[in-house]
Amino acid sequence: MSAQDNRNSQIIAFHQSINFTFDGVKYKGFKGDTIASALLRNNIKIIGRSFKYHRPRGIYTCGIEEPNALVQILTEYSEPNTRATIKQIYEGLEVESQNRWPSLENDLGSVNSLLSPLFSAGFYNKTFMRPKSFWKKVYEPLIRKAAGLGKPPKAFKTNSTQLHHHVDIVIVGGGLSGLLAAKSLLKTKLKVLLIEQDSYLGGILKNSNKVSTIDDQDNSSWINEVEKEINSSENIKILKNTLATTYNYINHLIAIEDLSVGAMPLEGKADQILHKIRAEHIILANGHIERLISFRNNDLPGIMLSGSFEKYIQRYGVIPETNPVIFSNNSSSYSLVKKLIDLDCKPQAYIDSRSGDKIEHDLLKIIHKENIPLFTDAHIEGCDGKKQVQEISVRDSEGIITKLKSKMLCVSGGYNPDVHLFTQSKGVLSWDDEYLTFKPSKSFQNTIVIGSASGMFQYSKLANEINSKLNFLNPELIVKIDFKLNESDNYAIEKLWETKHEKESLWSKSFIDLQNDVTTKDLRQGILEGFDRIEHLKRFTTNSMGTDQGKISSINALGIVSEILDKKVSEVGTTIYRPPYAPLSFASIAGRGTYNFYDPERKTSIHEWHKKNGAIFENVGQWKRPWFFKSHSEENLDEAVQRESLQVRRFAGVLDGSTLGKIEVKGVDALEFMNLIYTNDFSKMKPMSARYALMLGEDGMIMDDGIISKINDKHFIATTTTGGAANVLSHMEEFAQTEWPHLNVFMNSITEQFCTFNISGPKTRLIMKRVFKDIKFDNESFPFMTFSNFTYLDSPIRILRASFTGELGYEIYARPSVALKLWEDLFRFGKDEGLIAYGTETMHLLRAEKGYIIVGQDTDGSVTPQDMDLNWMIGKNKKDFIGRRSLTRSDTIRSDRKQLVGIKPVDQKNTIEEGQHIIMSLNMKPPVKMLGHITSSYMSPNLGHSFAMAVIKDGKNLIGSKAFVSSSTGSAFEVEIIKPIFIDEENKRLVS
Amino acid sequence: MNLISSNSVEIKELSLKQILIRGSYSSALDKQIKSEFKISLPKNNLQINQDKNIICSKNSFNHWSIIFFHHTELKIDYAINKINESEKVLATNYSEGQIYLEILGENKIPILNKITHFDFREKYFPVSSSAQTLIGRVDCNIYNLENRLLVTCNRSFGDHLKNQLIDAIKF
Repeated sequence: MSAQDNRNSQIIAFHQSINFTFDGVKYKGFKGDTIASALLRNNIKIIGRSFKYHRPRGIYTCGIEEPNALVQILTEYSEPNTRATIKQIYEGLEVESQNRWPSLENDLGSVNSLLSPLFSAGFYNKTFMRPKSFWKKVYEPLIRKAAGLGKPPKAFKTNSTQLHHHVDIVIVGGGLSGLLAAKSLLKTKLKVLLIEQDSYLGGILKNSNKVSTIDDQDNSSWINEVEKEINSSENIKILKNTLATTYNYINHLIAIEDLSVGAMPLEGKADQILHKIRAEHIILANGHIERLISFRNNDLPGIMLSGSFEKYIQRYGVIPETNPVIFSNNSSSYSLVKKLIDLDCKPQAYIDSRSGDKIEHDLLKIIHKENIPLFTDAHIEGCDGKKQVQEISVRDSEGIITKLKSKMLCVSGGYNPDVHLFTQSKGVLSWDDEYLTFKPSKSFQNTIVIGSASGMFQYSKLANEINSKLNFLNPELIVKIDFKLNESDNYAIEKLWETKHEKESLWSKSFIDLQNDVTTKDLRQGILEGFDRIEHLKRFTTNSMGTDQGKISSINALGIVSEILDKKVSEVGTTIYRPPYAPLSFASIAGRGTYNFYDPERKTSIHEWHKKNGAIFENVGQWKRPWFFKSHSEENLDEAVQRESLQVRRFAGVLDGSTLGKIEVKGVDALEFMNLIYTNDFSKMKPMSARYALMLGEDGMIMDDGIISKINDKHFIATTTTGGAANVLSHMEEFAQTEWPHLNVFMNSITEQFCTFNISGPKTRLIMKRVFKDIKFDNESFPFMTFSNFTYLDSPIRILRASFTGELGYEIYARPSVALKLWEDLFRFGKDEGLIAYGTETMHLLRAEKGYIIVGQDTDGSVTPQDMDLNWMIGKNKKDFIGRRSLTRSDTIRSDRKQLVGIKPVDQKNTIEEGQHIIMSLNMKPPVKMLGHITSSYMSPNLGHSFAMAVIKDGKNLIGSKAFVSSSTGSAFEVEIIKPIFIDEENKRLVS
Repeated sequence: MNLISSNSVEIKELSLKQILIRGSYSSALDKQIKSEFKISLPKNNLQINQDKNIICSKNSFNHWSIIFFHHTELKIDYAINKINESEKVLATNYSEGQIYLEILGENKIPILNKITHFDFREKYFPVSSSAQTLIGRVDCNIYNLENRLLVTCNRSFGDHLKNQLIDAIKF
């Protein structure tokens, strides 16, 4: 006995042979073959090794439900865990088996099977406890090494893209039911997407011999005709090679389309599309899945589900073994028996657990006619063989065991409606006592289930079912359909989850979950140990977990558990089938959202100038801001910051501050609004003047800061921190719209309408005079914290005299169209005066020297204005502002809150590090009382030593004291607590 | 400027002018807008009023944007100053705060569907309506102008959005 071609297949191109390798050996298949069908054609039965016991495993199914035949595709970035039953071969395809060493034939890991008593259910919950020290260095590395089946891909695969759809209806499944549903919607105006996981429509019509004609046409002609009708329609689109994997709320479906079926993926071209589909209604016509029966060694290569065996013959044109033994507890194997007889490959024996009087008359008739050995009321006791089935033990009704020599056993344990997507949609299942399976009962979303997916296995009732369930979509709908069947339309089944078997050796096992190596004994043990709830048992034994989610076995497990617990299956309930239905690669989920497209980048208008002039960027939110500018290729961050900060204090520097938020506020009640939003009082502020302002949350904690420029009482411009811009605008809108709707005030973000350049340093005035010849910059004409509007190249600009460095400074607001020219003009006129561009790190250093805080660095959402010594910014005469009440709570007014201080090392050689703790003494006993921590720290070239800002308990009263600061080396050194201002306390430079 | 023309999609970057108007709707405001720009403020959310030179879109209950295809900056600033004479209205020049992409061609929706979840179906996004949504994870406004879409986003995201659109067409 061996495999044989069935040249009648309409799908396999027998004239087109394809070369591929499996474990380095060359094989030939045909165009249209999957790896599995091609290997079967070449009489290869062992495909991989099992997860835990490393037992040899073969091809159990013919589709997505395959638990065993998972392989690594070497020619596609070494993609692991690919189902051999799905993946089509192409010229040059290289495939490797998984989870074996050194070879598939001789796998050292198979010793695990003999050690199986150690690996019983939940062993990993009970072992690896002692010695404790072994966990990190021995157990965990070992477990990690042993975990998983395939090896991770060598490179990240990025050839995936995504596509969003919005349709009225999605039909999942292009089989008989799906096609009938689509046909019935042809004349509607509904936009429909028909999703089929295969390259061909037709499902059961192509995969089996059950239906001979439809409407007096052969199956293929009927399918082609319907497909043609759909393709010529305007409202229905077919997506083939597309697997629906996830059913989310609300009618949101994820489906993955394989664009390189039967071909090598092309570089630079998408090889898969992740479809994200939103629909009004989803019709699930995704069919059913055949299930196994547990018996001794039911995992041996050479055991295959009957429906899959028939599919290989019918669809892939390969008879995996010419004279198989067939074992069933239901009526579904009739078409396989008939097909094999038609192909002159009559089964070696037919074994049915049902008594003769319950077996279909037609089936008995054909078996008797062909003299096929028949065992009724009989079971398979077990299988034996070295690495594949060689002998099958049949126990008859009297308990007598007959041994059959055979290399192939086809098993059918009955059908389950494919309810995975339905349960993902949160639909409710109910137990069907007739068909012994769970089937969809109540939809939670707009889900319609038809065909065998709904638990309806009679073709003759299909048209009526579709008419009644889809009638609400199309009242005119009438599907008339006439089938001629090769078998009885009455599907019948008898309960049989596991057969009685003898334990012959440690190697003898009756499996329930082939992918996770879970045996029926594991289920019993789990229940014995108290895990009698099905969800608990699932986790304890790992049954129905993993990538196949127990597609061919989960109902059997429920059946076995129900018998152990002496409950009805409906009382045991089901576990939840997790999305995705079949594994999705991370690449498909990421789509194009990797590398450059991982997160949007925001660039200022003069970003290219920065790039050309040596800027090294830092991410501030999504903004790319110059962190520092390299004066030469060898210069590092520290050197650049020392150079830039010295230069600004001695001469002048300019910072691209365009990222700062800018909000225009206007309205009759703008003044009142601003007084409520900020702590400051803007009432007495003169028009065309500016003020540093604080914004608090309702908890009284500092939320943001900025400069408020008052045009008049009805018109303001507020700046915000870079990171806080969007939040501040939302905060303002929220209060304007919900808390104070009586105020007439409106806001617009103008962040991107204006670039902001912050120029500062002693030479600034000179440079500004040269750039803006007609503007007077002397103190009298242009005092500190005032602003004026001008034009530059006929474009309006605003200049504000303010500084964040402590030096004489101006902020220039210009439109992007003139920004680069202005920036270059600053250098044209400032270069000789020592003007440099500086980055955010230097800005941080300079502002800290002056004692200016940065919200988010020196504050952390738990500090008040008092804590930061910013009492002066609170409008004392204001009746109200956001956070005011919180500032008088007992907790916010206590004196020992953490307060902002300055820190400098006693020994100036020491460098203070950000985030380090501050303690009062080195001689304290644990637990050591921490005073607080360093919030900002820099090495100042202007001071000649390291300095820091910190928040410490009772900080104001500790000014003048000594303390100790920890360091990353583990030692601590002495520091002095001082006022948080290090340069120009008298503001001479600022107002010079 | 033609950004890309391929795969039955054409994307052009336009240099347009834009005013953001904030204020409560009133006949006086509508009258003023009409006298300045010969177009009336739409009353319904996301509705667009348009002629060949101007589109005026209602973005929310007190927020309109007016986009000009041919006006000069000076005219815009002058008009803004006039509108802002009313204390109850805020008009802001936002011409340079955004980039403007015109997307044409029969494949425009399938291409956009690669990078946005937005529902372009006629019944949800009819001609002469606008929407605010994410395209390529960037906050954008889309204006449905019959046979073409105008997409705007903040200038700082411009390079990212353009690169995403080009990638969506090419890949």
